[in-house]
Amino acid sequence: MNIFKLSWKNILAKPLNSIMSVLLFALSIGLITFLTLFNHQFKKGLENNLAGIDLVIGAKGSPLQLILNSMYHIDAPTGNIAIGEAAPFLNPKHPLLSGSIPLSLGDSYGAFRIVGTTPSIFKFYGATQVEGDIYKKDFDVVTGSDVADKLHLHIGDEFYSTHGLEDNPDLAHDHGHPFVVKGILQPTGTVLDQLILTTPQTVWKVHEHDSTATDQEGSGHEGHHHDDAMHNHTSMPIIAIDSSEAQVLTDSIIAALRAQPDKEITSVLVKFKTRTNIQSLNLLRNINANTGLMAASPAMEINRLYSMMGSGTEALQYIAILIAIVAAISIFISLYSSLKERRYEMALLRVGGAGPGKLFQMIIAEGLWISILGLIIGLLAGHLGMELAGSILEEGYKYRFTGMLWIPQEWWIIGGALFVGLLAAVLPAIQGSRTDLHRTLAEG
Amino acid sequence: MITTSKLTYAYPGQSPIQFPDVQCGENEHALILGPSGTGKTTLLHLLGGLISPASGEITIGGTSVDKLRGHALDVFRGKRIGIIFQKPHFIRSLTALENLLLTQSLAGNEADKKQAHLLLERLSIGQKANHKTHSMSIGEQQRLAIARALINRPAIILADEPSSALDDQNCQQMIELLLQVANEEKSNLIVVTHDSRIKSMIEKKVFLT
Repeated sequence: MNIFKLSWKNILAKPLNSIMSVLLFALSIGLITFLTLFNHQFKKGLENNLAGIDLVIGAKGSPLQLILNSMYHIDAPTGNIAIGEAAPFLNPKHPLLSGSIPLSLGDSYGAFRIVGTTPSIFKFYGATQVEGDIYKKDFDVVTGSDVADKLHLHIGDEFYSTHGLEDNPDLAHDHGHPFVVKGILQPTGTVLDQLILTTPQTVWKVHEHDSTATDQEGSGHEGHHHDDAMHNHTSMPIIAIDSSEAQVLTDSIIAALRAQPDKEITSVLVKFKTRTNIQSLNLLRNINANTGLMAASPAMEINRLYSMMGSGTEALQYIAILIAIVAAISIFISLYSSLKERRYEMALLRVGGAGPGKLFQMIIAEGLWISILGLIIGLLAGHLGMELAGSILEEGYKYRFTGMLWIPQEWWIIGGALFVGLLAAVLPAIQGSRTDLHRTLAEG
Repeated sequence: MITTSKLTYAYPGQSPIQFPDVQCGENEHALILGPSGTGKTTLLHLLGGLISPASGEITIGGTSVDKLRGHALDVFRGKRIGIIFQKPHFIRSLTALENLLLTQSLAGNEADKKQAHLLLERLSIGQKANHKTHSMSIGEQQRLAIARALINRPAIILADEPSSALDDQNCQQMIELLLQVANEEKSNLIVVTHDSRIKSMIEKKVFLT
């Protein structure tokens, strides 16, 4: 039975006195932990999805909306652009660009977006492994790993898309040509995990079919047949994506797009050869000033988003710190008032041979125990809360949020919490260590 | 063995109180008697090293207690002195046994559960070892207070009005028990009291006026 065990027993002996302080402390720590985990994953998610993209070119409107729509797939498109207008940026021989990807949006399945694009998108986002194969024809699709998980899609499955980007069964294109799952991407940690990818032409054909109601013959028919293995949902082998094959497919899709300048796409994702080149830097301004298109820089828009989001989370952080201060005051009050009741106990400890330093340590330890309890509960609650909120956030932000991770900033939370507990206990500890032996005992 | 000479103690802003000399040889016990307000408790606290004298000397088992200050005095008090207070107070959050173990560890001794159990048995409160102290009767609490004063085998046992809250029968038993264990441990027992019931039980008396 040493002084630290005693301090623990003292906390346990009066649970009601400590419980308020512990709960306040836990609330504050939980809130701070949640915000820290959220901010970390929010930023990391945005940054993972930058994917080295330097410009997004689309219809005029809000540049932030264009970025959110085309790179994060969380907002409506600003409109469509004619391929003819965008053609220079789809030219593989453009002197400033090292790559560009057309995007056609408009349909979804099970609340996941169907994106018509070229297979070069895999390389853009660093997707290298696919179960099955990449898409090679219209109406073939490759789904992201989360899409396949959530919708229980397997290679060979067929489905009909829904018009628009919400999961609304009234808008289902439930006739015409179905989509066929040809491949399922391995997790990339990017927005690709949440997308269904196909050719740009497929997106047009779905809508042409709707308006003309003609039978879509040809291109995809041999894709319909399912062999038994597919029905039993056995997994297909995971293969590395053949980048030269993807390039050949990309080139032919681009050529087909450029041959139809009146058709529309939603936007183009662009990478520069060199970012520091003056002409590259001027490209954004030139497009916005001299064409009917709008160019937006993901880095700039995301920074703007940070500063907007930042003020919100900052306000919450101040509230959490305020609660921490209240918790500290509550620890202080509970220690201070228990000190009065325990004056005689302090004197007994002194009689037994404990110096003032020991009493000081004991009361500091009591403050620390409360903050450690609050810390543990708060950290658990913060992580659990993040895990529970993760699925809701994932729908909104289109990338993964989890409570099952530990980030370095949490060491600061721990350090800060222990410091606050220490601070709250210092005055009572000084007071307790000064207990006047003779007078306390003489008064009985 | 305890010897004091020409002890004085000064409360701030008051003239010093002078105390008669106290001397106890081996196996010798003493009563400190006197009306209220003559400084009986102050003398006891001087002997116990809870306060330091303004002048004079206290020697306990060969150590000049009046010369000790701070940490050295704390250690000496813990190891060599057992005190029984008028009202038995304990650490409320601990059980009877834990109170004894804490007393051992505060004195810098190994916490010896076996010894603590034996002592509780010897004082007939073995069955209360794992009870919180506030659930024990006043008589049991007095016994536990004796156990706590004895657990570190002190050179002297000081008792401040130990019998004031007890009826005649319990008072007699208490003092007899104290004398018995003090003799067994070869400790000096010094009792402060104004209780006439125990005057006949201890021969040596120091009168304060």
